[in-house]
Amino acid sequence: MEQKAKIDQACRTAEEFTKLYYESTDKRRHLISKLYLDTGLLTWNGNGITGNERIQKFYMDLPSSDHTLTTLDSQPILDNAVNGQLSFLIQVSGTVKYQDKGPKSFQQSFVITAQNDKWKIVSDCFRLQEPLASPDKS
Amino acid sequence: MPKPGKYNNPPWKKQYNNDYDARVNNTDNTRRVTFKHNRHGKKGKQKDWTNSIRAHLEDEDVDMGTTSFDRQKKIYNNRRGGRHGSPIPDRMGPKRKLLESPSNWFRVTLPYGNKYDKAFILRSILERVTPIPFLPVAWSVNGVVATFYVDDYKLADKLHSLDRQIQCPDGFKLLIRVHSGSPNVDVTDALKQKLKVTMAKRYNAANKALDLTKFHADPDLQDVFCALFKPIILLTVIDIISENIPELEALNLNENRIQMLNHLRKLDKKLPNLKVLHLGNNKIREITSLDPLMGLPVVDLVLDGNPLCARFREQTAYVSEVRKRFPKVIKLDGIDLPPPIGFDIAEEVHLPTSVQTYLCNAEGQEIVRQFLEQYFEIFDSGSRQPLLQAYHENAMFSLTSSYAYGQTPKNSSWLNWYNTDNRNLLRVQDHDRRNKLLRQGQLTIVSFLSEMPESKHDIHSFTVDLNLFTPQLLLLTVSGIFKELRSGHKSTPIRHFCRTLVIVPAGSGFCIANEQLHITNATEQQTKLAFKTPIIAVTQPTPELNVNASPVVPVPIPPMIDDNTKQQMIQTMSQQSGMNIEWSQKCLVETNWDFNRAAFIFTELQKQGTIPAEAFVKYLIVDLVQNITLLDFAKKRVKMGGGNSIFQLPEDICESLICSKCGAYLSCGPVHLLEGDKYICGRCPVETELPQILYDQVMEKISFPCRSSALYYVVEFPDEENNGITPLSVVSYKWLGGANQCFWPGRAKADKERMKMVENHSSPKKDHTWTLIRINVKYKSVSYERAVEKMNTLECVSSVTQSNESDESNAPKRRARRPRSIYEDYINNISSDNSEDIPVIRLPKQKAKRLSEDIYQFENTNRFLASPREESGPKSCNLKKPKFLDMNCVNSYANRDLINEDPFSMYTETNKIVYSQSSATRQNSLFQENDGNPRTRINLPEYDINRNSRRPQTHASRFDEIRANADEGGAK
Repeated sequence: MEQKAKIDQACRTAEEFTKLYYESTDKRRHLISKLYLDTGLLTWNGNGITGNERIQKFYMDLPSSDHTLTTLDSQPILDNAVNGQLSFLIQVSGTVKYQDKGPKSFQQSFVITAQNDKWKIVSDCFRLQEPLASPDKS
Repeated sequence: MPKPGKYNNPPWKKQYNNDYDARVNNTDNTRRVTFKHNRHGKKGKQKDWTNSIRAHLEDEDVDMGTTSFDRQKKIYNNRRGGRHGSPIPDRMGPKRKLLESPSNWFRVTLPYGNKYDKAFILRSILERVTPIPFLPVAWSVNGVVATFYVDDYKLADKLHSLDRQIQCPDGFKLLIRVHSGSPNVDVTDALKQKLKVTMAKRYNAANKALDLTKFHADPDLQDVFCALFKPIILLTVIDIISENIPELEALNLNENRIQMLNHLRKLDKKLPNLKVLHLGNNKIREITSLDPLMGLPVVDLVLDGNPLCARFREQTAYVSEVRKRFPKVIKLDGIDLPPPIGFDIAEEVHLPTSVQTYLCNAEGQEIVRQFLEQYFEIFDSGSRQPLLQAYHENAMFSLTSSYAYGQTPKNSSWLNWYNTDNRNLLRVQDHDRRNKLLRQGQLTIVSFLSEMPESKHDIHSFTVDLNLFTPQLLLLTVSGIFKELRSGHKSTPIRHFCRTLVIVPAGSGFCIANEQLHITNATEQQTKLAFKTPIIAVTQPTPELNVNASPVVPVPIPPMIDDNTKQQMIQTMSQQSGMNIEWSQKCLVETNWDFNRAAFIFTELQKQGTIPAEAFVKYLIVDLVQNITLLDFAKKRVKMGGGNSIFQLPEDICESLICSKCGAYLSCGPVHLLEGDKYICGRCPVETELPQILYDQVMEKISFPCRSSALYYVVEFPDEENNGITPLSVVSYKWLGGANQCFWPGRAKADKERMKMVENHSSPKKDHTWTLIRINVKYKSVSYERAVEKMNTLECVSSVTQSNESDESNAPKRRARRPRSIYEDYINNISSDNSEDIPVIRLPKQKAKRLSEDIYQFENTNRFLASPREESGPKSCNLKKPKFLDMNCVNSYANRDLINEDPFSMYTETNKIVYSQSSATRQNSLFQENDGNPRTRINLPEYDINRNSRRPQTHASRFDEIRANADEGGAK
């Protein structure tokens, strides 16, 4: 595929994807496993969860959330890194409220790949923008 | 009403004095004038004190300082009309009713109080006010005026009525003015200290309770005013609490006349454990005044005695209003409330705890650590050009940036620089613009990175997530804090970044294929903690310390130690062990910055006596501050006892100085300072009194970006070929005379003498003993020993192949005369292992092969790299920093440098490097002339003296090389 077309596709897909993804995390968590590969990975503030079923369970246990996006960026991953498998790298930033607590800034990045005409998350990495809790608190 | 300060006014004082004198005869009259003034002074002041004419026209009363007493009196009388000569019409007299003030604080002014003894006044007042307790607060004097404050209306009223009731020793009656008002407070450190002491006295550590009931009346605080209704005082007190006893659970603020609580908005953050709060008998009027305290986990609240209580007719309404604000209250005004009925949902938001690092595969740890260390070291260095190596030829990079929640350009550092290139797809809708902002190709990316403001990253703040680790790629997300330097902001901006990197293996290292960078300002909390890395007490258990342990034993994740800490550790190590900085660093690097382990290993090796003496030779490392010239250095050196010393100069300084011998820039290596403030770069030999060993070691260990040539050459003499054996010799670079010729001191010289001349780089003399003879260069080296070694090897080879005896007399052989240092052994070991003296340039084909190797083999490379280092222990630790992305610094990247050293270099069909004329003509170049026989040159192993070059490569060459690389990669 031509590079420019690929970049365009990456942008469009990212827009659709993030809309769907955050709707799911905020309102339809019981369906979130469908977004991930069976072997997908979620890294939530350094806690790694592998497998879409476990990821869904993790989300169900998380306090209710409300994400607002501020920035969105997406690029196609170079072919030689992914053996030509169409994959996009998506990075978002924004704010998230957990159970009506004050909003916090976060950054999140995804790798999504096309699997049988469906986009699936290979990797999802979420980080709140806050200093790590000092060891004495934990 | 007059303020005490007004008595400071010179006209006022004068007036008073006049007054006083006049009063000697007629007390009543003068008093009236005083009062008059008192009453209207404020008004007058507001209009204009300085413009006496206008003031006079508008309100004659004001103009007292400039008019005589008589005139004043006259005006007075005129104004008062028919009250001439009447008894003092004092409206401030006993008839005036003193109004209760909300704060209940009153200022008492004694206009002539300071004329009398304080003790006398206080005693007199006390006698008269009894049984009301009399506690004057903040007694102060200003001229003859004495002021103090009382906090009781009854008392104030009583004092008010005492005006002109007290007979003073000089016959006058004491004037007493009472107005509502509280003292101004200036929170000084002394006051804070005092408060702290008093609070400590009132703190009950057992139940974590602090009783501040009627705080201002504390006997220890009588000389200062510190009523808690003053916001500043209360805030100070709260701050003291949160600093010293943040675990406070009970706070009693009863009877402090507190009215407002607006300034306590952050109380729930400052005192997160406050469960008991008593605010009884204060002046809180509205229940809404308590809103700022919402969020406090208070279970026991006392509000009784506040005006707000009276506003509720029903107890239930009161309780429900309180509960609205403090839902957990179960005890109000000392009465137990029925527990509130709530809903069974999880009350607290429990988010999983954050973890600093996630590695999907522990094997990736070392790679990631090295990659990040190298990347950010270069990123934070002055030049980001070397990052070219870090990016794939077709790499993609994009930047997004936004203000974090609650931040705006007004309250945080501008992000304008980043916003220009912000590829925020939510904002940038245009396809072309989206395309343009996605930077593609390593050159584009690095030139963009180079434009970015200078930065300093706080490695300790980094969070690292290794999400994917496959033979094809690594997916890495890094976030953390950095400082922006020299970007024109008033205060250094502290930024937060988040980078997502897709990293692919390339050659023996890795490069970035995709990168997304997000930049925002650090939050308040982050800023607070940024760059404040505590020295990590290394408490890792040090089980069995085997110096020769295999380095691939999985080590626990090394704590990210920032540069400062490292420097401190190095210093401490150096101090404690007596080793010099390099060796201390080496020792620490090899033990992964585990100080205890490093110290242990040092002791062990010291016992074995395996640490060479050189480790204890300390170079003078001088931190060059701007204005110190090299002359100062020279002076310092003289103070140290003279002689030529080796200095380490900061890189940036070196780069602006030119060697007085070879004319090239000084590099960040040792610089020789000679008498007369001359300086010579490390590559130029100096007639030095330094122990040669030191010099050699420095040469071996420290790389010089500007050094382009070796110092010792092994040459053969083709003209003297005898039975197929060509005599060899080691000569100094100074003897080379261009065009494959070399000056020779003549055979008359004894070998020993000649050897010395070579070693010392004696310049050829222009006399008949020196002859110019034809030579072929076989080998070059910075070290004499290595040159001799090489020569011997070459000789052996030739004698074996020819099976003829070499002509000893004709072959001016050199032998290593000095015992070799361990370091050299190490070098030689490597050499013999590789059966090559120096690494041979890795050819594109081989690179391609490496490219196809999977990542797991990489570990083996690593092991291979690490083992010689480890075997030799600290004694031979490699000082050189590994090349970027390259785990094996002896290998391919070093050679790439060599290639790039010469922009004209290229690959030939035979995959050998041919040096073009441009390099051959270079001063001191090995290839002084092109004899048209590339074979000889190609076969010549070269000692790669530039393998640690940090000089930025030119774009073109790097680009060519990568392309060549990629072509090969594509070919596979």
